[in-house]
Amino acid sequence: MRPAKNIEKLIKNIDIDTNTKMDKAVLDNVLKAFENSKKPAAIEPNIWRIIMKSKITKFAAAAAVIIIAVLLGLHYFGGSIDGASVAWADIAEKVQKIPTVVYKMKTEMTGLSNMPKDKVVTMETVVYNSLEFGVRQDSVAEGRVLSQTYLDMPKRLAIIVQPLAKQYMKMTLTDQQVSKFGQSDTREIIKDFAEFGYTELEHKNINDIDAEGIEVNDVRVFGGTFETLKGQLWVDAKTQLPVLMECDCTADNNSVHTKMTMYDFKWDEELSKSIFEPNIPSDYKLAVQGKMPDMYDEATVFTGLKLFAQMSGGKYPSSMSMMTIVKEGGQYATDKHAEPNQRDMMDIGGAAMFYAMLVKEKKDPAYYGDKVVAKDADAILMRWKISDNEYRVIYGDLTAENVSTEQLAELEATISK
Amino acid sequence: MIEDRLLIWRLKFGSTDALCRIYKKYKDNLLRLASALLNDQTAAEDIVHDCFVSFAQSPEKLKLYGSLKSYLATCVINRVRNAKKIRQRQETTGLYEAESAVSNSKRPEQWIIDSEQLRQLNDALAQLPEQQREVIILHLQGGMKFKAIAELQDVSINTIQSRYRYGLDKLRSILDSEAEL
Repeated sequence: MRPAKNIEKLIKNIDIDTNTKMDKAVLDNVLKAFENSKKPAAIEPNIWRIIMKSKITKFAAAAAVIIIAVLLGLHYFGGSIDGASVAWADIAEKVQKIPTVVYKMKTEMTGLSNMPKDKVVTMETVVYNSLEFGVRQDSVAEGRVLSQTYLDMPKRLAIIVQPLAKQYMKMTLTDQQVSKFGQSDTREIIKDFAEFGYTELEHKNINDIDAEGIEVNDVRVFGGTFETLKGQLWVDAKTQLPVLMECDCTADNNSVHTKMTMYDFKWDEELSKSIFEPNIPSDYKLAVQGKMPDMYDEATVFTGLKLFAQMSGGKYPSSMSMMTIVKEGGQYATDKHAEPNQRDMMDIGGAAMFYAMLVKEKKDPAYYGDKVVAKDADAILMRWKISDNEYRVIYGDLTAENVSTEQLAELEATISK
Repeated sequence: MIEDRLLIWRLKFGSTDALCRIYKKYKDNLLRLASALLNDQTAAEDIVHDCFVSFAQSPEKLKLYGSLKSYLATCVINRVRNAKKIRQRQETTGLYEAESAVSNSKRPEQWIIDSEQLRQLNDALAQLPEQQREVIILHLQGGMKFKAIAELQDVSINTIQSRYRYGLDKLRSILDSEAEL
């Protein structure tokens, strides 16, 4: 007599073979049904299709992707928590020890260059973060996958797949980048919120969860990318784990509006290695290959500003805010009928990111791109503090030197005239 | 589970790749399930085909309360039940015999390649009472929990567990008697 367990095992393990030809025929029918289901939606104006057809908005679209990277990436910069209450410091510490997190992020932007004023550009991103395997971000807009970003920590690789352009970028990471990217953005966000001063909010019910929250209004949380900021972070009062983060930001005199919502957090989810392995179709072109630009190096600023000046005929962005760079860069791209490539966009964005890092690290940065152009060889274009009485200065001709506080005062006195 | 949530999310945003992944991940499982429930490969193939086509037609309406696997398995079961009802009606009117003879003959293109083991097991399962067979197949091949099966069959979880136990005993005796022959 067979034991019951054997019968159960037999049924569970039964295997079948399928005919590949027939399999393909069935799948074709399924895909056809799926394509037909999309047809009514195609009548709706597809803003991303419009974006990808226009040179200027292509710039904005590329920038939009970079903005997301900036917003997420800024939180890779570490920092200690000063002045946070014990409870919030404990939460920050607790989540940093959790090995995995998955969440969704919705970004809504209005006021992008050359877009209809009230047109909302929406992008949804799902983020997977594993301390063991790395990071994956899938961004989707209006039914299309815009980008899939993979940070493969063990292989020290960053791969960005762009299905709309049927291309991908492959960049190697340095040890320093691996160590910085390896930290989870969401965990760092809590630390940032706590660090820049916050007000505690009344308890709120979020999807049947009793949540407690804090609000920050200090624009330095995003490194000055925006002019106004209202950021709220909510944690489950019971588990003390984040359940919702909302940021409402404006830039360029309130003309650019970005709303970002991180939600549907799954903490300590079991994530298989395969999620973090890129699946690149064989007909995709390798658009960029090389080293990942180091966002933490002043060389990024030189490269980014030089590219911007070449595009604008010698002018620099009027401010180092990412939003301003996007807007002005887009305008120059149209005027000059230029079409900056992805690599240029990353380098220009990298300059803004470096500046944002200085703001976050409270290094007293200042930028005078609204007054200084490339031919002003001796005029101070940008500066930041490197020690108690010394500053690093970049001039209009993109040379740099260290100066004392007194020398800096003299240089800045000249510029203000 | 997490991979499935991502696939559904991407599917709702129009990802063909996500649909292909779902199809490849679950088609074998669903074929086994339908085949075991119906003991008719041709009808099982049609049911799985129709399930996936229906699934692909309205991804935006998809609302998952459990796992994707259970969702798809439930779709198959519902279609199997409908197919059985139609078959019963045809049997009473004398139509099924002719129809069955046609469907059991080899078609030029067939999805499932005959597996002797599958055939033997399906034959043994076919000898079980309908309700016991369904519980065993749904639990072992469909990966559904007893609670979910109880909801589907609209009986208590104790009844489902009893049906499972009796069914398994009977199956064991059928297979043992075949082995002795």
